[in-house]
Amino acid sequence: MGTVKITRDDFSIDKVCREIQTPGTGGIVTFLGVVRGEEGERRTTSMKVESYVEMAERELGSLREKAIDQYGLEDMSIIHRVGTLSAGENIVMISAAGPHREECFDAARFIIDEIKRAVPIWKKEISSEGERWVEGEH
Amino acid sequence: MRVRLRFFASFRDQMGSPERWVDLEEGTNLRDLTSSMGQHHPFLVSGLVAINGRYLDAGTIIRDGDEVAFFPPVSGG
Repeated sequence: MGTVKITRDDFSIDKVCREIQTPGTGGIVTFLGVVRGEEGERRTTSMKVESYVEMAERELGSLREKAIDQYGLEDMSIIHRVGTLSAGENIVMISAAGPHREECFDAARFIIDEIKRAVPIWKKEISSEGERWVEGEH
Repeated sequence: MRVRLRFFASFRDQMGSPERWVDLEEGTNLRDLTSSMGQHHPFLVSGLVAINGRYLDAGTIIRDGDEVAFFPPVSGG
């Protein structure tokens, strides 16, 4: 059974994928977001991630239900981490299980785009140049 | 009526606190509150606002005990 979670803990990609696999599943698409360590000349050592947890979990739950319905998925899990994460560590995982690949790719894309648009989570980058809040795209 | 205000990320840094309690007149809506807060903290007007963890219309009337959150554009993912 799929889940939605804001957590400090890391996750097992394999375990999450297995949890959403059903007899009707023909494919699972996973988007994995990680802390980027380099961007041009800037070296990021870590990322502080914070969230308005109660609201973010509710928003993610609604998005999960919408995606399952809209794309005809078998199941879906969305996990976003908070806390201080080092370069290379996992930040977010979105896994979509469906009968065929198209709906899984589309659903995973829909969710990551919505996370970046409206789910109350923020990142503060700690780099060689100091600390800065990452600006939202919208 | 008493309302809890919460601030997140850069807004919390700029406010110097994660929360504040305020007394509002009955009938105050979200637009009124945002406008009032914006007089002393103009950056708040450029952000997002939620009541009890939900995005609601600016005309929504605020109730006693509500939690109103102010935060900058999100940057998760």
